[in-house]
Amino acid sequence: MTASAFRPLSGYSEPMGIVKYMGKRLLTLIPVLLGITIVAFLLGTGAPGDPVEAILNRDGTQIVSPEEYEIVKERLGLNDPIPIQYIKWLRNAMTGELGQSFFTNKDIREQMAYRLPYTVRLALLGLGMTVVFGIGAGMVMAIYKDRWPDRILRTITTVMLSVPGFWIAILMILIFVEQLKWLPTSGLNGWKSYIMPGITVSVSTIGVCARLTRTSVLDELGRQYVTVASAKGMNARLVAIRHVLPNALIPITTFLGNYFAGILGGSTIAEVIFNIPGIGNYAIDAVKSRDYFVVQAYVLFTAMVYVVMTILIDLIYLAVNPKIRAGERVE
Amino acid sequence: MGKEIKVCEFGVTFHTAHGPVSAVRDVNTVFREGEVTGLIGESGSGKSVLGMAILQLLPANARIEGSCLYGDTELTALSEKEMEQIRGNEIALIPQNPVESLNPVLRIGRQLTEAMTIHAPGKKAEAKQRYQDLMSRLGFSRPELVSRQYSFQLSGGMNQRMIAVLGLMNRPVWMIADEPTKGLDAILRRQVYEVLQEITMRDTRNMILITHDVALARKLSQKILVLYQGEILEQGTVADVLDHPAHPYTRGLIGSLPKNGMKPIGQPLKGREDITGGCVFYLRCPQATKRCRQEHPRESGLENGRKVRCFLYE
Ligand SMILES: Nc1ncnc2c1ncn2[C@@H]1O[C@H](COP(=O)(O)OP(=O)(O)O)[C@@H](O)[C@H]1O
Ligand SMILES: [Mg+2]
Repeated sequence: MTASAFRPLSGYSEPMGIVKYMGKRLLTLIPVLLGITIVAFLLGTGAPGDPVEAILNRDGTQIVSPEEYEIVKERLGLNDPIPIQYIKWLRNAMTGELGQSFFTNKDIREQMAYRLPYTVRLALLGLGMTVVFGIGAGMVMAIYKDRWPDRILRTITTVMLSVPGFWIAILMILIFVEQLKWLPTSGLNGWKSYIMPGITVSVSTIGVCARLTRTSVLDELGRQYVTVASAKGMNARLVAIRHVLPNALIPITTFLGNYFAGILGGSTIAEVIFNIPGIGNYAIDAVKSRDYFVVQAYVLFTAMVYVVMTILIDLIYLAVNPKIRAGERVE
Repeated sequence: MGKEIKVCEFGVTFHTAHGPVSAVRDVNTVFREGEVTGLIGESGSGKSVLGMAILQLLPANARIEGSCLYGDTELTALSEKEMEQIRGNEIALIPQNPVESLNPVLRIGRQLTEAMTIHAPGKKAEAKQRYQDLMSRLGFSRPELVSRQYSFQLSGGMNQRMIAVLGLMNRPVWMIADEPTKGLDAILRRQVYEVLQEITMRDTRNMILITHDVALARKLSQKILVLYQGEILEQGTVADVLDHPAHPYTRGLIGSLPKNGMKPIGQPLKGREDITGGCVFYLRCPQATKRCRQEHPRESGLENGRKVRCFLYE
C-alpha cells in the first residue's frame, strides 16, 4: 500500500497553542480586574456612615467643630472628586500602598501580611482534606456504584452537603471541647487548633467534590477508551488510575480551584468562631467599624486572589487537558 | 491441538432496570484457525456483544451463558486475572468507533507502548520499535511524530489504522475487528480493506471480522455467520451463504445490497402480532408458516458444514 493515499499531518505546534490560549485568557482578565477595583473602591466610599465623623466622634458623644472636620477630611483626601480619589487610590494600591486603618492607625499591608499565613494554612488544610476525602470517596462510590459502599457514602455526602459550616462548628465544639475535652476551643496552640476550623471549611465541599468525582468517574467509565484499555489486558485498577482518573479530574480542577480561592479570601465563619486572626476576621472587624480603607483593601485582595487563581487553574488545566494545549476548541 | 475458538450454547443477557434483555442466544460455531470469519447482520443484531463476550469485556450488568473454548482452555471458567493474560496477548481487538477508542489525554505512543509493557514489563524499547514498524507498514509516514500526538489530532481514517496498530502490538494469535469500515467514505473503506488484507497476510489469518458491510465480509472472509436479533440464522462458507443464501433473512439481506437492486427486507407483515418463543424472523419473513410462530427453529445441518436455523431445511 502507498503512503500517499493518507492525509498528511496538520501543521500544528503545541507551544503556539498554549501561548495563544493564555494570551486570550489574560486579556479577558484585565477588564475583570479593572471592574473589581472600581467596585472595591465604591464599596468603601459608598458605604453608609461618614468616616470623618467616625474618626472624630467614635462613641457619638463628642461635638465636632467644622474646622476639625475639614482638616481630617482633607487629610483623608475626601475633598477630591470621586474619580480623582479612585485614581489616587488605585495608584497607591498598585505600588502596594494600601494606607492605614482609620482606627488602629496600623499599616494595612503589614496587617494583611501578618494575617495571611493563618488563612493560607486553613485554606491549604481545607483543600487537602477535600482532595483526599472528596476525590477518594467519589472514586469509591463510582467503583462500587449501587452497592453498599456507594449507598452509605451517598447518604453521608448528602448530609455533608446540606449542613451549614457554622452548625458543624458548634456541634464539634460541644462534643470535642465541652464534653470530651480533646481539643482546644479557640485561639492557636499548634496544629490541633486547625482541626475543627479545617473541618468547618471543608465539610460541604467534601460532599460536593465526592458527588462531582462520582459523576465524572462514572461518565468516563462508560467511555470506549476504557474498554479498549481493558482489551489490552490491563487490570481494572490500573485502568482506573492511568486512564480514567486523568480524564475525570479535568472538571474537578476548576471546582477545587474556585473553592481554594474562596477560602483564601477568608473563611470568615470559621475564623470568627475559632478566633483565628486571619484575613476573614480582619475583614469582619473592618466592616463592623466601617474602616473603609481596610474594606477596600480586602476587596482588592480577594479580587487579586481570584485573578491569580484563575490563571493558576488555567495552567493546571493546560497540564491536564491536551486539547487546550493543542489549541483545539473545547466546550 | 490448535487454537481455534469454539463456542457452544453461547449467549449474553443484560440485566437492566426493565428486566433481562437477551442480546445473544444459543450460538454454536467454531472460529477455525487460518480463516477469517465474517460476522454480519444489521445494527443492533448483537455482533459487538458476541465479539466482546469472547473477550469478556461486557458491562457489569451482562451475564455470559454457555461455553467458549480457546484451544482447550475454557475461557468462561478463567479468573479475571487469567483473562487479562488472554486479552491483547492471545486475542486482540480492533474496536469499533476508532475516534473514541484512544484516551484523549494520553499521548498515542504511550498507549501503544503500554499494550506491550502490560504483558512484558521493561520492554519499552521493543514496544517503541514495534509500533514504529507497524505504523510504517500501515501507511504512517512519520511514526515518531504521530506517536507524540493525541487521538483528536488524527483524522478518522488515521485513528482507524492506529487502533489496528494497537491490536497488533503483541502479535496476537487471534484478532477481533469490530466494524472497521463503519462511517468511512469509499476511499477510506478501501484503505481499511488494504490494512486488514495486510494483517491477514502478514500478521494473523485468525480473524473474526464483525461488520454490516457485506462487500467487505465477502472480500476478506472464508466463512460467514449471519446474526439476527441475537441468533445465528445461517452459517457456512462465503460462497454458500452469500451466493446461494438459504435462510429467508439472508436472502433478504443479500437482495437488499445495492448491486442486487436494493430491495428492502419487508417491515413487519400485517396480521403478525408480536410473538415470543417462535422464530426471531417470523414478523418479517415472507415464507413464515403457523409453525414458525409457535416453535423455535433449531439449526439444521446442510452440505459443507452449512447450518440454517429455519424449518424450510429440516
Ligand atoms: N449495556 C447494555 N445493556 C442492555 N442491553 C444492551 C447493552 N449493550 C447492548 N445491548 C443490547 O444488545 C443488542 C446488540 O447490541 P450490539 O452487539 O452492540 O449490536 P451490533 O450488532 O450493532 O454490534 C442491542 O440491540 C441492545 O439491545
Ligand atoms: Mg456494533
